[in-house]
Parts: sequence; C-alpha cells; structure tokens
Amino acid sequence: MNKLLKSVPAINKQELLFHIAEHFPATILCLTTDAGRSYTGVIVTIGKVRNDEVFLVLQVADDRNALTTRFLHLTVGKIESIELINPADLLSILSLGKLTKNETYEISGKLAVQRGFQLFSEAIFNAHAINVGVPAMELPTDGLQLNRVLKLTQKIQQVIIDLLKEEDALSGWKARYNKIAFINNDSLEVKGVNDLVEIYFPFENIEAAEISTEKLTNLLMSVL
Amino acid sequence: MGLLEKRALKAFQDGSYKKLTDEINALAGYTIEFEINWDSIAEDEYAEMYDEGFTKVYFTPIIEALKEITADDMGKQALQEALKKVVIKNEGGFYYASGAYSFKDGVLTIDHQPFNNINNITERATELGELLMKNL
Repeated sequence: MNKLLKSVPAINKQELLFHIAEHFPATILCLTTDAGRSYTGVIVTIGKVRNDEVFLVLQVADDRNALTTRFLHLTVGKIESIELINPADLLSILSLGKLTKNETYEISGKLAVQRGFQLFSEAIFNAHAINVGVPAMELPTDGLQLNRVLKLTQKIQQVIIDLLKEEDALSGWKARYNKIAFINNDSLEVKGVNDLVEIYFPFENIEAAEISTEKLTNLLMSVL
Repeated sequence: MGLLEKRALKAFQDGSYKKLTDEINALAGYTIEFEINWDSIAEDEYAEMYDEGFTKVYFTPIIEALKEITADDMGKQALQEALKKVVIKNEGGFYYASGAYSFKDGVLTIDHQPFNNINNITERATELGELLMKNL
C-alpha cells in the first residue's frame, strides 16, 4: 500500500474535497482551519459561488464519530489541513480515482477455475452466439493464484461481451478465431495466432495490478 | 461400550453405513476409502441415536457436497484425482461445521461430535463443499 501511495500525484485541497464529496461522501474528515479550530464530520455539499470561492457544508460528528444535527458552513480557502479518518479506499481518494487498491484473493481450486473457463465460453456464446472456445491455460497450483485467474477470467469475459456488442468486432472475431488461451506474462499483450486469440497477462502474480478494461479492449480490437 | 451400544453400532454398520458409503461411491464414480474411529463416535448412552446422528452429522453432508461437485465430468475427475480417503472421528470436541473439516494430502478428515447440531446438515454440506472445492 505504501509503495502504491508513493505513485499518487499531488492534488490540492479543493480537488480532494470535491472528489470525496462525489465518490466517498461517507468518509469522515477532520478539517482544521487557519484559525486553528478543528471540525470532524462528513461533507454534505460543496460548491463554487460567483466569486469562485468554494464553500462546503460539513455535518459535524461527535467524539465517537457519530453524526450530530450540527452543520458547519466553511470556506475551503480557510481550511489549513484535512485529515481522513479510516478512509474506505485511501488510494482511490488520494489519486482522485485513478488508482484503486489491489484485489484481495481467497483460495480457489483448479476445478473452480476450470468451471469458470467453461462458464466464460458459455456466457459469451449466450450473449453473442459466438464460440470463442474454452480458455486454454497451464494452471498454477497455488490457491491464491488460481483465485486471481478465476477473477481475471470473469473480467476478460465481460470485456469480450462488451466488445462484441459492436457488429464489426463480432463479425471480425467470428471470421478469424474460435480458440482462446491465457498465458502468464509480465505485461498485458494480445496476439492473434491463426484461429487462436492469446491473452498474455500476469495471471499468476497476485501483487500485480488488475487488468485494464480499456487497454484490453484496445488490444483485442487491434487483432480483429 | 455396553451391549446396547455394540448392538446399535453393528446395526448401523450392517445397514445404513453400507447404503451411505455405496451412495457416496456411486456419486464419486470410484471407491473412496473410509477410516472410521468407531470407538470415538459411538458414545455411551446414545445408542438409540447412532443411526440418525451418524447419518446426518457425517454422511449426508458428504452426499450433498458431492452432488454439487460431481455434477459434471470435470468435477468427477477432479474429485478422483484429489480425494482418496475419508477419516471420521470424534476427538477434538467440535460441534460446528467451521471446525469439523480438514483436508490434507488427499485425506478428508471429519472431526465432529456425533450428537450435537444434528440437523445442521446444510451448514455442514456447505462448509465441506467449499473446503473440497478449494482443494480440487
């Protein structure tokens, strides 16, 4: 987590508060003003007024962080510091949603993954009447790695279902491919080899980031 | 173990036990070895409950879990490759599913008191099914 936090870009107080108000409104904040007073609570609303000054309304919490019926109207320019109290996803908050905490994995067995592969093929067939094949993969033996493979399979499945909603993508895939393989690799790559789509990804590295929907979509489009 | 318990145990071994293990083996598609510590599960003064207790606590959850796993050929094959033996005993004082099941080196061990929470069959089947799925 600390390693990931180091990659978070610098943001100003205003950006941070707007992001929290929109995406993490339940986050309890302790705001300290330039007069040295501190207020704890959640943001009820935040907005700019005509002179470009930003105000927020904070619903004040008590000592146990339970919300009270006290509300504070405050100029953001007067806020000296912002403390986030037990944030749900600190990484996402501080990166304004650009980064999210890594997926956590449980233990899975090979059978669950093999069934996941079967469902992958069936789900795509049911959505678009196309046989993309059951993914071929040399499965790891570690349960956490297997769980990552299973979760990634479900994400890839959704990416393909969404991609094939476009008629040209569907006809392109139908004309060229009827097999698919997942191959463990350091980075995301997609190759079309004869009638086979090969998806390369760090399937077995449970510390690696999740697959990027956008990047995978683009790479799949490049082989269609 | 008194005569009453010996008779009840023999009746179970000759009757329900054979039927239950036959059903399990039929579901699995191969013969699973059973090792049962009869002395630990055949508790004194519970002779009249042996049949119901042993069946519901130890065997019905296995049957229910295996029905899910062996629903397709993939599951049957995975089970055959992974599960070699079932050990049933009552040594650790466990009476909830969460502590009753363990799996190691192809051996499923069920350590559960035979006459506690008899009717929690679904809970045990779910716990066992999840454990097996993690190991198949």
